[in-house]
Amino acid sequence: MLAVTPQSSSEVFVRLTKVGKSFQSDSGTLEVLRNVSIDVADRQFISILGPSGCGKSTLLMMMAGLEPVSSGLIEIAGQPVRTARRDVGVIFQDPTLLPWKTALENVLFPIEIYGLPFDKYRVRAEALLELVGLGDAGQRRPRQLSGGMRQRVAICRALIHEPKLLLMDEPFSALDAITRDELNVTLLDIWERHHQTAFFVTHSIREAVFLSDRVVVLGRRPGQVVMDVTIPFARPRDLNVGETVEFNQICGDLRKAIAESHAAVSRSNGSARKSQNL
Amino acid sequence: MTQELLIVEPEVVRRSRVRREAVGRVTRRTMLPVMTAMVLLAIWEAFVKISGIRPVILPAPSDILQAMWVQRELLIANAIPTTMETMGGFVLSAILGGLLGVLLSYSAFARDSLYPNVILFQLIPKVAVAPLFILWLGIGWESRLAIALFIAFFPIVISTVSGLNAVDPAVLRLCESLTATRFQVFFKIRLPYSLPFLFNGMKISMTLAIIGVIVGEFITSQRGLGYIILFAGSRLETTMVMAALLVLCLVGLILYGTVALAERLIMKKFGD
Repeated sequence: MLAVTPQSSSEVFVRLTKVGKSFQSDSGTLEVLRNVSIDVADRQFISILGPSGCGKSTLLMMMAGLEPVSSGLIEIAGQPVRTARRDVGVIFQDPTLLPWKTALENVLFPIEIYGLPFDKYRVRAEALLELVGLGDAGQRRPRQLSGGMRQRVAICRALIHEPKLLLMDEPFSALDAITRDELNVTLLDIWERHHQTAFFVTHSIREAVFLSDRVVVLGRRPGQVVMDVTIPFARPRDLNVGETVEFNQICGDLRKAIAESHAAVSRSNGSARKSQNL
Repeated sequence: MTQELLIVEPEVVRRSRVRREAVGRVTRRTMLPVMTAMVLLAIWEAFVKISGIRPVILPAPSDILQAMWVQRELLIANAIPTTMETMGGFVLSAILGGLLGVLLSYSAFARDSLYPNVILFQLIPKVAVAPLFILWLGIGWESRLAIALFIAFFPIVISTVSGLNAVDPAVLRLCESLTATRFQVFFKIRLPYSLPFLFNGMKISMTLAIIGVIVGEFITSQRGLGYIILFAGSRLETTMVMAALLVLCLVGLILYGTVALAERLIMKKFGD
């Protein structure tokens, strides 16, 4: 059943209460998420881990106010989420940069939309680009940047307005393994400086464990919380933490939990599904 | 962090290489077609002189240029209304077509009820409708403008609709997450994304506006380069027909060039 461990030490910033999501289609109702309850402590880095199609991205979109919930309640800072909020920054799977704007202008795009003073945020934008290693690329346009560099710009754009909550939807899944490792380090570096609440969706077990304070596993559709573990490693972390026995132990446990959730679904769906879930 | 995928080339070397390549490209792109035209004109001139073909069938280029010079006042006097009416028709079609395009993109009701009819309307051979405009608006500039507008209108509508829908859906989602208003999405996202489409539409529309005005001048027979062509043709003054055609080419070149220049300036600003 639900294994929810509320963080007792600090107060809850994001609260998901029995969140469910169903889509109506011609072939009937497709239930994507069922009874997902998670409390995220203020300034916690939490990863949602699950196989593709388990509804983890949908969950994130609902938190961003881009998708309505079918049942249950999502609260951020005590307020129910109905539409997008300005104290939230979202990093999508694709960088979605505007091709005619320079890297710096792309970072400042939220400021442009919010109608905030440009001059005040320009310095911050330059500092953020510097921080992700793009200090001298501010005047370049997206097509002059590599995939990894574009996603770095997207990270800066999500942070420019100093959001209290950072939502990330598999932001590095389109990148190669080496670039991905680099960006994981960059992200941690930034996060350890700014330390906002972070909600990270991924299907990479190692990525989730490396980045997070806490990892929640969603089982196969309809997605439900099947495991919730606290990651004990001290910060700041570097990639070497991935070589430790404890790290690999946690990864093993998580892998098992995902596999078991598959098996459970196979059983309930009859033996026909069993072979393909191996 | 590391600098990934940066091609190492000294900035000075790169700049001079880029400039050299650009100059070579421009020379090739402007000089080559001009020289080709020169050669063809020379062949034409030589053919007329050697074969002794009658000027009423095919005048020599030198004769055409001469006629153009001799009749310059008449030609200019008639080129002005043609130019003005073309520009008027083009500007009106750009405004009205653009507005209809925006309406069709934003209102599902307008799209569902109007768009199929717009497409159907576009299938009418528009030149065939020209006499109707004479009936409704008389033989003055109004009907020539209306014919130009009618012909030039549709490419603008189609390109506006496809341009405004050419936005990456992920970018719209980003805007939604930033709580952007519809107004902001239109001006900051949809419009810039649609610019290449709009300019393509406008270039087509400009050439069609010229056709519209010439057709109008053929029918109304009042003034303009189309009238000169028709009139001179009926008197077998082939040289004059060709001289007027040449002026018409120049007018078209200037009008089309203006749109193309605007496109280059604006697209430069939008990073292409």
